[in-house]
Amino acid sequence: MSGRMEKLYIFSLLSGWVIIFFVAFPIINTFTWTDPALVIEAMKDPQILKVIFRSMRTATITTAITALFAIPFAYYVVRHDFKYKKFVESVIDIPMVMPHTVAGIALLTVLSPKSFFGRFLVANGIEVLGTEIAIVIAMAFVSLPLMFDAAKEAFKWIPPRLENVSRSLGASHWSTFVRITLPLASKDLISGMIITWARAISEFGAVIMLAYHPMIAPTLIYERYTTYGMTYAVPVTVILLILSLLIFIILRLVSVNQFRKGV
Amino acid sequence: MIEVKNLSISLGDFSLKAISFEVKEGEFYILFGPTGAGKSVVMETIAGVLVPDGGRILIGGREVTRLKPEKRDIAICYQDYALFPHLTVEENIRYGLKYKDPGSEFFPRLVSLLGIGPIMKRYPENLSGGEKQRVSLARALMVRPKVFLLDEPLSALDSHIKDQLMRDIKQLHQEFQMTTLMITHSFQEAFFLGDRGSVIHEGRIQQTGTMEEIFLRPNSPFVANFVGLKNVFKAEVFHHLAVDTPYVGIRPENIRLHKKKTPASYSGVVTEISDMGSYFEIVIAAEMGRVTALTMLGGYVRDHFKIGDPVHFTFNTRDIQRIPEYSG
Repeated sequence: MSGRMEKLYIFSLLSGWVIIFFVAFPIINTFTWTDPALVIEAMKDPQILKVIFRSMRTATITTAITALFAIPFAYYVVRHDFKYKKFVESVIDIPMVMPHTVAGIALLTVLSPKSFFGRFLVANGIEVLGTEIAIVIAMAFVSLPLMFDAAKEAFKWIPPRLENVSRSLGASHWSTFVRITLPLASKDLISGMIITWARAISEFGAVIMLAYHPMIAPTLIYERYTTYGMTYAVPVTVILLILSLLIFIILRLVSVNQFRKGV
Repeated sequence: MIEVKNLSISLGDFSLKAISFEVKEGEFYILFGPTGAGKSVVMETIAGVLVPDGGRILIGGREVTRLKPEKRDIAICYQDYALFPHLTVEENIRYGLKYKDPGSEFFPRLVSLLGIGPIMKRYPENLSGGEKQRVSLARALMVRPKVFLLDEPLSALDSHIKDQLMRDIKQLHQEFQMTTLMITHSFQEAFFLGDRGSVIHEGRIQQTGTMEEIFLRPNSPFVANFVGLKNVFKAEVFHHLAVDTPYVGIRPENIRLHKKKTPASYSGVVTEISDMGSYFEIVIAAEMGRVTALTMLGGYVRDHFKIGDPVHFTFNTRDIQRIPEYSG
C-alpha cells in the first residue's frame, strides 16, 4: 500500500473504532463493576454452581441432539438437488428470525396440557413443562438452524469428486464418508457445534416460557436483577461471561480449516 | 472390455442420446469433442457416479449399469487431480490398498516409473500441477483397475509439463496394458495417445474409428473442423473434380500461396495474417468462402503479402478430402 490514504478508508477506520468501543466497553465494564471477592463468593455458592452446571449440561445435550439430526440431513441437502430444496432450507432457518418469546409461545401451543399433544403427554405420565426436557426443547428449537447451516457450510466446499475417486478405488459410500468427508469437514463441524452450544446456553426468552424452574443461568441473572438489583446480578454475570469468552477462544483456535486451501 | 450400449441420460438442459461404443481389452480409447459435448457425463456414467435413464454398460462382460462405483473395478483420474488434501502423497497412493491387493512389489515399481519417490511425505497443497497429476495417476493405477478412466488429465497443465506427462501416460499404458478411456478436447493428445476413439458433439457420437481414420477421413463438416481441417466447402464449388460427397475439405498446410495468377490458381484477398511463432496463418476471402492457409515461410509472407492484398492459391487435388454429410 502506498503512503496515500483514501478518504473513504478514513471513514471506514473511524467506524471500526466506534464498533470496537461499542462492543468491548460494556464487556470490560462488567468486570470492573463488581468486587472480585463477590465473584469468588458466587463461585462457591452451591445454588449458583448448580444452575450454571445445569445450563452447561442442557446446552451440551442440546448440541448433541441437534448435531445428530442436523449433520446427516445437511450432508444430504448439500449433495442433492430436489424439488422445494430452498423451501425446506428456509423452514429450518425460521427460528433464527423469530422473537424468542414467540418461539416459546409456539412451543407451548404444542406442549401445554391444553393441546392435543400435551394431553397425550400428561395421560402417559410424561412431564415436560418445568423440567430439563423443556429447557432442551427450547434451546434446540432456537439453535438448530445454526447447527444445520454450519454443517451445510462444512460439507459444501468438499468437492464431490473426492468422494467419487474414493469410491472408484473401492471404498463404500460409508467408508468414504468416514475416511474422506468427515475428516475434511470435522473442524467446521466442531466450530458449528461450539456456536450451537453458545447459542443454546444464552437462550432465555424461549426457555422461561417452558421452564422458569429448574433455573438456568440467564434466568437466575434475570431473577437476581429484578429482585435484588445489580449488586447480586453482576457476579453471576461475570461467571457466565468468563465461560462464554473461554468458549469463544476455543472456537477461534479450532475454526481454522487448513484443508480448504489447495482443494 | 467396456461396452456402452444405447446410453441415454438427461441432466437439466443437457442430454446424451443413444451413445454406443466398445473399448477392447488393453486398448487406449479416446472420447473427444468440444467442451460441453457430454464427454464427462459419459465417463461419470461408466464410473457409476451417474445412473443412466436408458441403455447398458458392461465391463469385462459383466453388466454394471446399476452397480455402485466401488463394485465396478474402475479407477478415475480427474483434470483437477482430486487428491485427498488431508493425506500425504504416500497415503493418497495407498488409499485403495484397504480394498485391493496389487502385491507388495507394485508400489515401489509404480513410484519409480512415475519418478515421485522424493515427494512421498508431502501434502497435496505443496505439489506442482504435474506432480499432482502423477500422484493421481499412481493412486488410480495402484488398485490395478480393469478399466482406467482419464477425464482431461492434461488440460490444466502448462504446455511443457503436458508434453512430458503425455509421454508418461503412453509409457504407463505400454507397461501395464490397462484398458483406458480418456476424454479430451485436444486432437493432439487424442492422436498421440489413442488407438481408437469417438468424436462426441451435442450429446451424440459423430464418428468412431481409429485416430487415423478420424483424422484423414472425417465423416462430417463438424468432425473435419474439429480435427483441424479448417477449409470445408460444399462439393459443388469443385464441380469440375467430380466429387461424390456433399462436402470436401483441404488442410491449411496443403494450400500454397502465389503472388502471380496461374491457370490452375484460385484468387482472393488477404484478410488476416497471424504470426503463430513456428508458422504463419493467413486467412483469405475467396469466392468459395473463407480459406485458411499455413506456412512456415515467415519471411516469404512478410515480404509479399499484407492485409488487403490480392492473393492466388493452389492445392493438389490429391489433398482434397471427401466428407460425407453427417446423417445422425
